Amino acid sequence: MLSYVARRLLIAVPTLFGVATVSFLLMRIIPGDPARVMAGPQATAEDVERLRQQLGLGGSIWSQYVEYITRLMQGDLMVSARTGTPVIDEIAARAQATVTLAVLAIVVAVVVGCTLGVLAALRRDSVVDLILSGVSVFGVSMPVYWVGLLLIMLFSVQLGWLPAGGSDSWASVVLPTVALSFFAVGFISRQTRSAMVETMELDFIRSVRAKGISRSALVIRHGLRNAALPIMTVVGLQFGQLLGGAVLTETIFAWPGLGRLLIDSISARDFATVQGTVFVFAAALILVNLLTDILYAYADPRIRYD
Amino acid sequence: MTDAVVDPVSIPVPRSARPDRLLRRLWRHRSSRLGLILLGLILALVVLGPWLTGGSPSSDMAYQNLAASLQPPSAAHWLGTDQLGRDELVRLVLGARYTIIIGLGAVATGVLVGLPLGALSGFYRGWVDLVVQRLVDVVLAFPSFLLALALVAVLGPGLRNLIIGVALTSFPRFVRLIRAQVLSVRERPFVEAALALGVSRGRILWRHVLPNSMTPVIVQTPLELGSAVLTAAGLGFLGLGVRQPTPEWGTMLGESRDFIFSNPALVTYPGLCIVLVILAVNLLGDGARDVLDPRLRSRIKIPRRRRT
Repeated sequence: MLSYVARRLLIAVPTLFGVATVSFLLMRIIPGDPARVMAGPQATAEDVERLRQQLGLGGSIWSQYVEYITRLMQGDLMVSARTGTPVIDEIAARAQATVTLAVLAIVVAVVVGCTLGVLAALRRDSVVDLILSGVSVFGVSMPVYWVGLLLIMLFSVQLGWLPAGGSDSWASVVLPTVALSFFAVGFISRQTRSAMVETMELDFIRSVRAKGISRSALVIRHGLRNAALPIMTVVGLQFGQLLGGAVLTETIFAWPGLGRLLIDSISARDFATVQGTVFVFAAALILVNLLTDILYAYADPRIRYD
Repeated sequence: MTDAVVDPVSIPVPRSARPDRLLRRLWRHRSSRLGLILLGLILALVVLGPWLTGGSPSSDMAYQNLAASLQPPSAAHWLGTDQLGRDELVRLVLGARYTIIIGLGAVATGVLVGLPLGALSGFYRGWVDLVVQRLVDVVLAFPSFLLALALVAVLGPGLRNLIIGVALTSFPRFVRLIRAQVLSVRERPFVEAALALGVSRGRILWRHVLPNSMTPVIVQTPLELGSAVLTAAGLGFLGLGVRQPTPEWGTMLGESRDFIFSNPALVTYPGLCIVLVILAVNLLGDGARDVLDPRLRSRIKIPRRRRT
């Protein structure tokens, strides 16, 4: 197991390096002079020059790259052109809100998605299955930005039950969580259904049933447990989608997380922050994929010996 | 080497994958038929849109009539008017073009880049494979929406940059797909036979391996179209899509946010249009998966092969 984890870690390192390189290049493909663009129309020549030094945009592209990677390894993601504070501090201040939202959404998606998927699989080809299939295909077809707006229209404008935005109370977390988990619920329930249908047809299920075990124990202890691997895979895959969706969700619900920071930085042409935030998002996704891989190997020992 | 000698060696594409047969089988499947109908209707809007809306002043993109803004539905404006007094229905109909063009453009770019990379990577292996796969790993390490978002933010909005941004997120999946397929096809006996006949490697790849590797690409393409539409509309929603006053659905949805309290209908329609496109390709994809994966199609119980 330990050597498996070590191998996974070793693969993650070059990917992380590649991600850093892409985020470095991101700022270099800005049409025109990046420092000039970011300093704004009123900036003097000295302002632009100072910003150029702060953001490591002076000298040859190679020396810039070396400086970028060196500073990155020291946990330095340059300075925000908008506020003058280090980008890493801006990110640290907002990360918790995004993590809260993402974790809540994935938990809701797994619980609801698995339940719906199991129900559909057990009642295969019945009306329940048909309705649930319809619901899940709608779920994966609804863009998070539209779901968010519809939720606001229904629960904030029409019914007035929940706040349309902000992060003042526990109630304000409900709508963003539902909106963000919507797609994943559809996706996970589809995968759960097909994994459960396959598992419940295997011979060992019949043997277990012959032992006279209760139906719920059969489904949960024997069925779901064996169907868990493909479900875990899609949950891991969903996380990338979820992080992208978080940006849109946070914008719609005025949720003070990294996504809002990213969008605000784009409108302010603060590309140092854009670059840093995108890097952190990608690093988070690499970490989650790594954890999924490890969890997968833990659940299915055969994988460790590939 | 003449074609007469080479061609008997190549195996025709499996029956189910021939486009006409595939289409017929998709039509027989309940969900893909619905998908085909929906997609057909949307494509009809794309083609006929300008003709259908020709009589309305709102079909001119620059048209504004503030005196008639935010009107409820009426005989003159079936879905009412938007904040600038433009007919909502006319703009939705015209918007189909932009949404579909961006989607198709991005998918086509993704295929054009992904197909050769994946084919070379799977066929020649070695360092080409290593370099391409590391590149793909890095691109896939980003949450795809964020990568498109960052690229468009940096390059600036507009149709071309939008297509580049969205294509960047879809090409790695085509690389993976075609590589996996080429890896298995290149081991088939007819490739060996062609090699023995002295056919050049490049020609084998182009004439024999690639045509036999296309099925998954054909299946994946509609799903990629859906994901491209979703991403592009999301960027439009954030104000990073096509420039004003182009009637793109995502952009329209983004602009309508300000009227969510007063005119919720403006939020409903563009979103519904986007959902219909994505629903269509998802239904089509579901059907294609069932039709092409015999294990899922048949009700006869076949023991699942253990994953190793």
